[in-house]
Amino acid sequence: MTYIQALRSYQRAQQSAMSPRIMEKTVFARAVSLLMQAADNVDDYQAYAAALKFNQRLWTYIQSSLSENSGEVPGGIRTSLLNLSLFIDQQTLRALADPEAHHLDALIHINREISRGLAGESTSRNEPLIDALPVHGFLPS
Amino acid sequence: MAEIAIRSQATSALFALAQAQKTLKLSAERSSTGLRILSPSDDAVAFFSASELSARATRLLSIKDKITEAAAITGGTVNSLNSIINLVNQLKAKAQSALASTVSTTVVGDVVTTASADITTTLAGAVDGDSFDITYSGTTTTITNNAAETFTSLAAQITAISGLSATVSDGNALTITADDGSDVTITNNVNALATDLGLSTSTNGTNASSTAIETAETAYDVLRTAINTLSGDAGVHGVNLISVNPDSLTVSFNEDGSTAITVAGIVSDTNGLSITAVDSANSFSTQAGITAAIVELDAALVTLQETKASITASDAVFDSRLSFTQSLIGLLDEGAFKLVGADLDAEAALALATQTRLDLTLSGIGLILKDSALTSLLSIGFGAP
Repeated sequence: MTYIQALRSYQRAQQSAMSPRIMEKTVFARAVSLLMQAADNVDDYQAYAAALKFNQRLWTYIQSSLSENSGEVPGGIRTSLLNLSLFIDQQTLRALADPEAHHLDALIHINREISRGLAGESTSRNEPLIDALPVHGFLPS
Repeated sequence: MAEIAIRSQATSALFALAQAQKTLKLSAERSSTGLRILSPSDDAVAFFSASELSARATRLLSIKDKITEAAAITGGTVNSLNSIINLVNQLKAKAQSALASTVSTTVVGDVVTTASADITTTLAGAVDGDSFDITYSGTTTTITNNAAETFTSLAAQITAISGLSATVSDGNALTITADDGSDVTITNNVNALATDLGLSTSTNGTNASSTAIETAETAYDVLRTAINTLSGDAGVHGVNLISVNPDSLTVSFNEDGSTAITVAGIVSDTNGLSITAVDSANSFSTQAGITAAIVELDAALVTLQETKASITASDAVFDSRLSFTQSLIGLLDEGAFKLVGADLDAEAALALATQTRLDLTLSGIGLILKDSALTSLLSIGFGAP
């Protein structure tokens, strides 16, 4: 068994063992990580386009899940998410046609915010978090 | 054989155990496939509504995939064109720095014993009224050995030509210099005065030996070759719109091809851009040669910008296809909510994302995606390490 086969098997096992909630967080985190890597190296256009495509697929699934209103997501949130999904479609096209790192900023930010909302976090990424404080500063030297 | 009697309580307990095992097996199957519902017999209504959902996702994706692929090809091409533009600007910088290192052209005649002596009486073969022509910078001027003309006064006639200077002194050669390094062409006019003076045409002879110029020419040609490599490697998904033999990109957005767009390829290698090599032709040995190279580069930059405009002209069509996606979603329950997403600017979208995070937190919703979508995304997102 090659390394890649082994890795894939491990990934599959990991996927089936994950709860849907963890899976969803993983998917958002993956989109953020791919987009950040793409923003760091726009010259690798293949990777840049692949990151945008993955993110678009994520948001297309959100579109299709939400456009079939199952009543699980309240109307206001549903509308907001669909509006964001349309902005993401537009922004993805803009970013593909004009390869510039700054086009990805909004996409990264939106994914982070939604992922945090789903995890029940009420603080924005710009607000200080208790666990972000330098712990060693409180320890006796 | 004795019969084992099973009491009714035991029977129902066994039945419950069998049911529990069946549920356990089903749940294991579901978690391994990532699907909540496996077959129509499981839950017919839920199964068909789930297939409907995935059909919608498939339809949305198929529209977007075509737009995304086309935009990725044009965007990737623009990225390569930007790199080529960058290279052309570097070439221009090389040419401009070479301009600063040009060496003057020099024409050296025979040694003159006495500069103030009359030419006709001291120079063998010379008579009053004979002459030669100097062609420099596109203008021809006749230099004449008038009556009582000395070597010094003849040099003064040459110095009067703008851009040229001539010097002569006792025991030294008559020397004509063009500071800009351009050609100085000398031809006999009346009789053979130029030959008598030992002057012959100089075609930048001294310039090509300049090390700075040689280095600049070599560096220029290396950069020039890099343009060809870039244009040759500019393919995205197997489509190269700017190579020597460019492809054209045809995207049809529907099955009968009635809504299709074709983006024509444009040759953008150094031949297509008319950027010529300089080293073998010693083009940088004259200022005029360097200026000609800069003119070529400026024209190439204009061409590259036009190519970019032509390749991005299709973006408007992609935009209109995205509006179609919006209408597909919007049609589902018209009037129930307002979709404005495509009109949001980045700032408004960020504010909306923050508001949505707070709404999600308050409502306690933990999931917005179906299991099947999550499994699909995980397999794509981590499928190719």
